[in-house]
Amino acid sequence: MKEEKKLGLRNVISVSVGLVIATSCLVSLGQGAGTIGVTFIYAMIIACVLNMITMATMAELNALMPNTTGGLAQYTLAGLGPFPTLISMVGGYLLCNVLSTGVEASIFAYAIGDLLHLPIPNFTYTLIMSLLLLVTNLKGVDVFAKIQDLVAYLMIGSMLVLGIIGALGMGTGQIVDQPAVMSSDFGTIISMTAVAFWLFIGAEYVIPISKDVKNAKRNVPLGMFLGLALICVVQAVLVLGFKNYTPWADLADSAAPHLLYGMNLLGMPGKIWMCLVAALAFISTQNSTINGLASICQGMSKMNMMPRFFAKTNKNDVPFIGVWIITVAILVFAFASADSSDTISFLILVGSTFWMISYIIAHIDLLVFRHRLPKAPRSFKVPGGVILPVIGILGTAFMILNISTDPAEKYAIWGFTGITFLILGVYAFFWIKYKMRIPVFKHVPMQKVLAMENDLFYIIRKRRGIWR
Amino acid sequence: MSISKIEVITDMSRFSSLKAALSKAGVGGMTVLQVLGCGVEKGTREYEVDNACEMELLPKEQINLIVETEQVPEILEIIKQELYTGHIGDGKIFVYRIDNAIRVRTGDEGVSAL
Repeated sequence: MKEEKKLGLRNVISVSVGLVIATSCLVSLGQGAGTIGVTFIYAMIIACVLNMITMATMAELNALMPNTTGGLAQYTLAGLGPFPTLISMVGGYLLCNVLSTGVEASIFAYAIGDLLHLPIPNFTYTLIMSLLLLVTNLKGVDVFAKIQDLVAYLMIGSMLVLGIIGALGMGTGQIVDQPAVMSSDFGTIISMTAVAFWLFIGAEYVIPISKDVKNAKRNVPLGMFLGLALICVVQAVLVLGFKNYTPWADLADSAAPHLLYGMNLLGMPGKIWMCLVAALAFISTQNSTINGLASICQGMSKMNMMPRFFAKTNKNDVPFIGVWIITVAILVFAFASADSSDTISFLILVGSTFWMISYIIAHIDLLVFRHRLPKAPRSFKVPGGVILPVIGILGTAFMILNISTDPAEKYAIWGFTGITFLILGVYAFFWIKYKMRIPVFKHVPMQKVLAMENDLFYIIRKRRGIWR
Repeated sequence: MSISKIEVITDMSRFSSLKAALSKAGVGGMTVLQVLGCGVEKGTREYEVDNACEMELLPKEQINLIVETEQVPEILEIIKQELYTGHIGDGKIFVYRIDNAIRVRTGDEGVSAL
């Protein structure tokens, strides 16, 4: 009997909002608004539209290859081949998520430290929380499965309420007298779209739940678009609130602008409120990252794209090696960015660059499939022919080229990204050639990529000695 | 007005969802047969390494629909959207012209007989 689909449009919107909103978004929001004032809202709108175009691309790719657990990895494997797949997945996805969660951990530790003022290093809070989540994940217990929606509503609701209070000047704190606009130069606004980009990434995580969504053809893309629009509106209101209660310079320099704003707006109660909501959001994010990325590594190991030890499970059926490695990697990035708003901002921009590259690859995958399979049935198709994907590629490439207004920082980001992709490129070449034993630069037929979803695909090849 | 026959051969697991989609689209009737068959892969499962040398016939459902020729493109689109997964085994659709159709009880012919 066919299982009834349970999720509607409202669920898709709440999932996409919950997956996108994170405390690091507030750092980018503070940095952007602190640099150019309320005109940052224009940069946000442009970044939101570019992300909507990318979500449309993801929706069409999902329509072509439905019910895939690997998502972008499988689209790229079928579209462009294993070499860009390995690089974009390991670099543009795994590494980026670990990096961003490490930054989230750092912001969390700073916020708790600023609230409690205990005589211990802030990193201690990150360590304690990470160890707790490591233990629960190793036991196979998803502590936050039931409250993840609640956390998302709390986060977005708190942002909206605090934004409205601030925008209307109804806070208990002192209103700051400062110009609303720090820069209205079009070139500057456009260059800030790279900072704004971070506010909207991640909505594609909705795609894996699409098989459980009623009228998925309509509700999945519509839910993602509405979710992004909602985030844009809420964060725009927050910027208006920042203008009234937080000096722009303090905002740009703060490692936790949401706390600063909460304190300035409503005093200690506001600070505590934002701290608690942000803490819950961070814990939920880290929990999702640990078990999500460990599962992705396990899936890639089954496709023979990562070492076999990632597929090993413990008695609780948890890919424990992946859980350990992800947790340690998050701690490394958290330690590296501890208490430093400059390092936090830098790592966010590096993470953005990795993610943007994977989005460009998604658009290219779409164009390849339009050419290669023009008549394959698609329950959703990006309107306007190839115009929107091309705009997506050009717009995202522009954001990478303008990732920072500081030339030294820009070259440092490009350098970090370039070196990472070079290392991944070498790993990918040798892994594909000698371990996977398939042509490095040739695409894998779509039906074969889909067949990899079946465990028997791997078992048979392992037994025959084709895959070691 | 002319009439056409649409013959769909697909995996047995897809039949119930296809029937529901066609009912929702207003298709008035169908004939279903359980058949054995294979395509160019000769019955090779998607996860296997080598293609089968000899044809292996797999159990399938054949669904026959008789509709007005004007409705054929719309119904084909519904069938394609419903059956598509991208996996080997999604199925095949054949379209035939029908010279005539007759309802025995009333003697109606052509579209009136549908």
